[in-house]
Amino acid sequence: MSRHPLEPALEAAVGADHVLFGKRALMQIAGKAAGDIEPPAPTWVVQPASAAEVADVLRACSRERVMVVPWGTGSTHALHARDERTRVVLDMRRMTNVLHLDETSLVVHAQAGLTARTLEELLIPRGLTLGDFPPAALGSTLGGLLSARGAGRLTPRHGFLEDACLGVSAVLADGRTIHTRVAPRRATGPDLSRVLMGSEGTLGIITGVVLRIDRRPESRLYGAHAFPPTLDNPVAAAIEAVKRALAEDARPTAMGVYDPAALAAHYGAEAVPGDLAGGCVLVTATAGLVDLAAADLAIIGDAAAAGGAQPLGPALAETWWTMRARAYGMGYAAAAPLPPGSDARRSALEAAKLGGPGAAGTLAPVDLEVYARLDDLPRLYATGVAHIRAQGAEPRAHIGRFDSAGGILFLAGAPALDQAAREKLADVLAPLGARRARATFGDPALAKYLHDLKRELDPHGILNPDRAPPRAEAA
Amino acid sequence: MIHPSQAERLASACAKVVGSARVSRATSDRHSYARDQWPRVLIGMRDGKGAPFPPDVVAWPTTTAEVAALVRVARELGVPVVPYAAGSGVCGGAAPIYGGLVIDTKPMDRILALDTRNATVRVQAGMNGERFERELNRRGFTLGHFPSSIYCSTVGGWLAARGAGQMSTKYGKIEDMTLGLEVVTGRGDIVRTGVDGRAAAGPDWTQVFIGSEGTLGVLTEGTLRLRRSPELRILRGFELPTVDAGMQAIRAVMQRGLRPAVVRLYDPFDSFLAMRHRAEAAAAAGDEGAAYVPTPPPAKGLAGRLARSLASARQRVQDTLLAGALARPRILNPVLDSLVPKLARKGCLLIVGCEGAARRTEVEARLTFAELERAGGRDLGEGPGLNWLKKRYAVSYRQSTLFAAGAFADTMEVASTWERLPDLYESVREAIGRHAMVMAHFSHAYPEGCSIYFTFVAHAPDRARMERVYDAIWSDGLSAAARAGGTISHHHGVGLSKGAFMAEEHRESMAILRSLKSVMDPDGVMNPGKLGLAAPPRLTDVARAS
Ligand SMILES: Cc1cc2nc3c(=O)[nH]c(=O)nc-3n(C[C@H](O)[C@H](O)[C@H](O)COP(=O)(O)OP(=O)(O)OC[C@H]3O[C@@H](n4cnc5c(N)ncnc54)[C@H](O)[C@@H]3O)c2cc1C
Repeated sequence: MSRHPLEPALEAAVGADHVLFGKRALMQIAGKAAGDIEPPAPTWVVQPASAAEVADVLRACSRERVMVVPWGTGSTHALHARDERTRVVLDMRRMTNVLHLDETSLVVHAQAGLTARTLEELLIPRGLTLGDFPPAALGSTLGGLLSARGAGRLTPRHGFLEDACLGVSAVLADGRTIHTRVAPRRATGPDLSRVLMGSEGTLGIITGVVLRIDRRPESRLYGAHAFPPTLDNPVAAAIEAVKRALAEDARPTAMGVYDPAALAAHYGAEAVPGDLAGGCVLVTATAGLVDLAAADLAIIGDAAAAGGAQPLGPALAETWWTMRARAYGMGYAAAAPLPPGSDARRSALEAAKLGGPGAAGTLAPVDLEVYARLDDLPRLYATGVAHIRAQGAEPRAHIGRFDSAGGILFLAGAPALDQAAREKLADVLAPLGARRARATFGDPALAKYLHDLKRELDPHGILNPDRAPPRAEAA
Repeated sequence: MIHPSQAERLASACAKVVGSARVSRATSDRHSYARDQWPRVLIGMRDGKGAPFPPDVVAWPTTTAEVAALVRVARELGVPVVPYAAGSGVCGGAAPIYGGLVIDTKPMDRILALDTRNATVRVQAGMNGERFERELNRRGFTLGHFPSSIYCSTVGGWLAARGAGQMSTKYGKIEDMTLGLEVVTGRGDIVRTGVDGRAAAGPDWTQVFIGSEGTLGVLTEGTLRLRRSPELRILRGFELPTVDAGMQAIRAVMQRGLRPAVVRLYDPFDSFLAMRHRAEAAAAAGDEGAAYVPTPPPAKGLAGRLARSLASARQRVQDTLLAGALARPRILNPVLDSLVPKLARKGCLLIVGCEGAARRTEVEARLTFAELERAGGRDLGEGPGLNWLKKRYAVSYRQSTLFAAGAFADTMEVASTWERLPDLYESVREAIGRHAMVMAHFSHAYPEGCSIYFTFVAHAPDRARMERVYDAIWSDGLSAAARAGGTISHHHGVGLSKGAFMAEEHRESMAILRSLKSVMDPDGVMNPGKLGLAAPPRLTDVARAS
């Protein structure tokens, strides 16, 4: 077989050791996830180590009109060819350097192939963190997280990962390299990094990110409140308490509303307070300067009490926090606030014993998650639970990841809903204000603008074409 | 300016859209829209020069559909469209430099929906800032956006220029409070951004249109997040020994998770003026007018006279000594540096204030003040804070005195991360200081950095030389900012005056801005020549010819 003209160029760009070919290459980087089939067209896995190498690869691919699909660790769509086009899978996982850690400004500049977890592991011993409540998708690369919109929805305190992003470096289809400059805020035209973020690698390949980070908090406090079944609508009362607390300026690290079935499934039957059948629990963690964390906890406690809830003491919330954190592989961060004067390194090590990455702790599976405004959540909860029960499954639900405007409702059944049942459930909830991720490209009228922007920045359509806005929408 | 016959066609086509009563070619109207508050143009105006950039036609639409129709008309005729709001911009952004059609957004001035349960508001772009805030207050809410120009600017202008209010440290800049927009693009389409919350894929269009300064389209409506009106506001003054100590104190506060609403650190000369104003206000307590037009106290020495010249709106400064001093800034600034602290026997003034729901605000204020004391701050009580609050919109309107006295004043607001901030401060101050008397305050603080607001005053014997000095200040100042790793603008925008520095600001990323421009406005009719985007050649020719 004669060599494809692209191959020497790829080897020149990243070195022959980092150009792999065919099914073996895909299996090598992704294992079974790659699917055990020979790709229908020539496929290379290319592993660049720097933005300059990415630029060389893209220039070569641009010349040969070969499509390029960036791959971090998360989704496997990049690995599965949908057509017979020659492709290069850009494996970003060698790009894991921290380029600059600015502890004065609390800003880190890292290559895009670094996973959030690895970065967090670097930060923790220095008394720093990505956020007190780390994103769920910690195993994903930073570039992967920022290529999708709304990744790492965090808490009233932290917002989205994209909100913590002060700038990106990227390579455009023709190999031009871009660094959006870093400033806390600016008034020099549109936010250009927001054009690349969220575009799933269709407009440019994100090679570096500049993220705002935090100091680890000096304290963390927990609270739990039971909304008894005797209330008119316990879930509505709990959501109202959340809303009231946020309106009172409380900035908790995280809050969650659980029905008894969800509590038992996630944290064990012993976690469920007596007499809660038909009611729900609001769990809270606050963090920061002790007085401020205490004030936040008190504000939430009062809001809950005003809604008819009874205080349960901190133990349940502490279990909730710790188990969740361990399940996400963040045992040490979760267990250890960093009181003033303490030795960050030692406390990190000690806490790591409690459960470092991969330590025990898994949460119950979820069948469907939807985002909705606070006002819509109680009705969505009631409808979702009733629908699951009507299908003959035992429902469980919790609501969390609140921001100032809404939260995520997590629904599941025992036995678990199958794919068709999940779709059905989503259809039932949609008219009531439930939104699913990856729903739209924005106002349909904007689709043609995105399409044209893609054509401007990537005239030959080589960048992640599977993810580009569909032409039909772009009419 | 476009050809008169073209202007005639434009006017009649616009009249078909909005009615002839809402279209004008009258000289008086055209001259009213021929500039904004860009000080370089004001220098010429003072000299009796007419307004420099009159549009050919002015239209006053009242609906989004009309705006869209107007944009399409202009596009068909190939003439420039300049969205013009309150004209308070200070960078020439709203100046119709190639003539054409001005779309005044101010007739679109209504609150469309106030959702009190979810604390959001839909408001039309042309609504006046102060009226908007007053209306929200009446319903128990605040936007939390208080630019000094709140009386003379609009919501759309804030969005278009990425503005900041004085309490942005708590409430954020305008881009932080915006949930969605309605926009008429340069193609004449009406699009909505942020519908259905945050779409999971594709650019964040809201953040693309915010800050676009009329170059991508006309913003017709914004959906903004509100806060409850504060129950409590606690203000304080602190004295910090040096600028550096002040910067570190603010950084400590922000990085501990505290979010005061107001943080303003004045450098020594700015502190001196701020303190002096405070004394004046105390003397004139209770007299509202006096707060806006303070009486200068007897001041001794050069710095005193300079202070007086800045503070007084009554006194014409015809002091040749002053003019002479202003003309020699290289000598003046070091003199002030050594003189002012001695005169005032003070360090740097820091105004800080917390506000919000009562319970949390009390705790937050206590912790904030404690942090400042730990950082070496001396508590001056609430006086300086209250005084700042009282006059917070007044200071900016004092420029006319200086212009009348034959000098000029302007401001440059840059920003960077904390790591670079001391260097940014020194370099920009030095660069401006070559040409003008300069002072600065630090405001708009973030956990990762801060903005610096330089005020400068200069004088030259005639207009031509004045403009040369003016240009040199901006050129040197912005280059210094870019070199120090800062941004050239934190909240005033780019407009015309900073356009040439956009390449330094964004470098290769300008490619993305240019792509956005050609996609949103393929014919280049939207506010041509701004934001560092070149005007289409056809328009450039027209301008050269005229
Ligand atoms: C005394 C004084 C104090 C100031 N203080 C502050 C301050 O504290 N903070 C601050 O941020 N700024 C301040 N400014 C600057 C100015 O007020 C702001 O830039 C303001 O946002 C401009 O609003 P405007 O309605 O006057 O807009 P204009 O000046 O009319 O327009 C500004 C720019 O936006 C474009 N534009 C306006 N409306 C629209 C629209 N609906 N759609 C598309 N494009 C549009 C224009 O074409 C122009 O390019 C101050 C100015 C003055 C004179």
